Amino acid sequence: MIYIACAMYMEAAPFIRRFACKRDDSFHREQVFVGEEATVIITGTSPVPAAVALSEALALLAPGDEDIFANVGLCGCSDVSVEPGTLYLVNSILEHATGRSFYPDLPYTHKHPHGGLTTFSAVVKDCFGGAFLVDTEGAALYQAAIGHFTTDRMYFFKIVSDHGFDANKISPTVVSELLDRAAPDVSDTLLRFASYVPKKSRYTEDEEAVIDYFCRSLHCSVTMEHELRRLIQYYELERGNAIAHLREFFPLHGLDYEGDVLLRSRKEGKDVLEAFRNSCLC
Amino acid sequence: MFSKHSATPASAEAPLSPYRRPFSTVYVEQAAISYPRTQRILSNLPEHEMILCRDYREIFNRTRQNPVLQKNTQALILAVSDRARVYEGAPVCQDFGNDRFYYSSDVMNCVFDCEYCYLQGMYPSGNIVVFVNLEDTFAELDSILRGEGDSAPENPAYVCISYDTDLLALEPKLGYVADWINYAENHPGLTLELRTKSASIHALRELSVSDRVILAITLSPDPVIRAMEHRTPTLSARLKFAAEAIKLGWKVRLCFDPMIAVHDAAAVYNAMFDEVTAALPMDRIHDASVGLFRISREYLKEMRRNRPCAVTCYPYELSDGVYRYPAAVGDPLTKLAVDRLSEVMPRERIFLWDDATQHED
Ligand code: SF4
Repeated sequence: MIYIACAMYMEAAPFIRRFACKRDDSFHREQVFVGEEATVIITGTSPVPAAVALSEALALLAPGDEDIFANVGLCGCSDVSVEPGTLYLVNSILEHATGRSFYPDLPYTHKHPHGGLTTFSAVVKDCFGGAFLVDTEGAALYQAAIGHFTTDRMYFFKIVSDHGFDANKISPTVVSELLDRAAPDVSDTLLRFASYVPKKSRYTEDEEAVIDYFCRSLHCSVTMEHELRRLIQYYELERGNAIAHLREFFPLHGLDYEGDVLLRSRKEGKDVLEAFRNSCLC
Repeated sequence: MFSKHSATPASAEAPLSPYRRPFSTVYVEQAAISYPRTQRILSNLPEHEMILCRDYREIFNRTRQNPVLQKNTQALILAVSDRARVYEGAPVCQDFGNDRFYYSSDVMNCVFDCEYCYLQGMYPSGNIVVFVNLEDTFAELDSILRGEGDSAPENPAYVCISYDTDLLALEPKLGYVADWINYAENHPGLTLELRTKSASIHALRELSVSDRVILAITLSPDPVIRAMEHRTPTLSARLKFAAEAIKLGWKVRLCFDPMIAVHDAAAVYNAMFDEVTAALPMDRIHDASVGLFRISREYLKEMRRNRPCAVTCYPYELSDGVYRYPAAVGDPLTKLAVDRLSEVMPRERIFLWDDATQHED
């Protein structure tokens, strides 16, 4: 799943359309639109409300280890030679108010230019204080999202809308035009990044049932279960089919998966765990 | 400082690997920018994006990094260390008979990616930090060599310079080994150990041979290299490198450490020793070290979380805060190594790691 945070609906609209997202009415305070590949969250503008909205939404949405996060929005740019509509992928974020810096990793190849972003507490029009790209949400959203995503799964796309002095030219029509133009590129890049995130290998339901039976039959404590699962993983990696090994191991120790036979006590379970450990050793 | 974050030009068509080239991003501490060594390193990295930062910890110590993934696309961080980078070897460290045993840590992290590497338990990041103020390390060593605060200053000092990294593998970019050799040549009483899995004969030929340096070459069986020493050279490449080093006049130490209890370990390690003894003039090997994989409890906990794999999931035995192989598994493997080496070199030149030591290069 790709989680896309935008400050305004106008910025989010092309992504809501592209990923066929539907409004999720269970969110009362934030506007959240959910699709199969992406979830779009409208955070509102300026740092504190944006961070609060994103934190609340992510707490409920509970992203997983294979999901990625993106903030997409407009920004100002101090370099007047940079055309409005230019799309940047942010490689560093300075929070102007605190002086703290944040660095997304950007591990994958892509075609977008990089730029440093400075997040101000309010819109700056005439003086960017030496910053290259400026916005009012980036640093806050980084801090709200970092609890849910690792640094390699966070992306900040900024589309130049103005150079400060010409900010008054940005009308709702201009915003829509800029976003409509950038959205296909951003979406394609995000889909590609999401496909690169390493997938965790998982047991099938049937395999999980066998492991679950083993844990129950041994009356495993949490620590015992951790060890047992690690042993199974070790066997799988070093020797081969761990589930087949388990099925051969069970009858030797009075266990019967089909009959759901359980040992009498955890003490017996510990002995069987010890036997299983020895059976896994090289 | 962020004003300097000018845009990086868009790259051409994305190549096939999903990952950006290693060292395509270089973070540079503001304080490091004026160091000649920083400029030298940057000039060895022709296409890179430089990002200025205030403090390397802002990047290296970030919360919620993915060190395993970062190893595929390592960033370089150039920094100025605010403290001495020379440390006294812990009492449990193998000192090869040296009384004054130190290690220096001017580089944190490694270009190679061994699944058993303790650095994964020690650092929150897969990126590499290079401290550019090597002169401060040398100044610290100067005072150590002068014997300041030492009860036995007349004894020679022994310094491992490739401790939390593989310095030789980084030589084309950093040139630190050459700097160290230069320093050692002017400081009698100093012996350096350069531990490596690199097999770059080219990098070796660029260095002036020094009898003050022990080139410690780590050897592993190919099945172990293929399974868990990612991006490292094959056994035959390491043996060619070792043979060339001996020919050039380097003192070569062979390190069979860490030995890993893989499936059918006896056969796997016997095949390796056959290859080693056939490829190298064993009578010209300075010495050898043998050690089983062992790791502190804290590091293994972190490694299991970040990288569940055969070596981290193994059911080790815990004693004194260190995980080790059960004696029934480990002892025969150690014995095999010592027996095989004793056939071709004197026993007193074979050193055993059987303590709670840490570094396995
Ligand atoms: S074990 Fe040595 S060579 Fe391997 S990654 Fe660690 S420091 Fe590098």
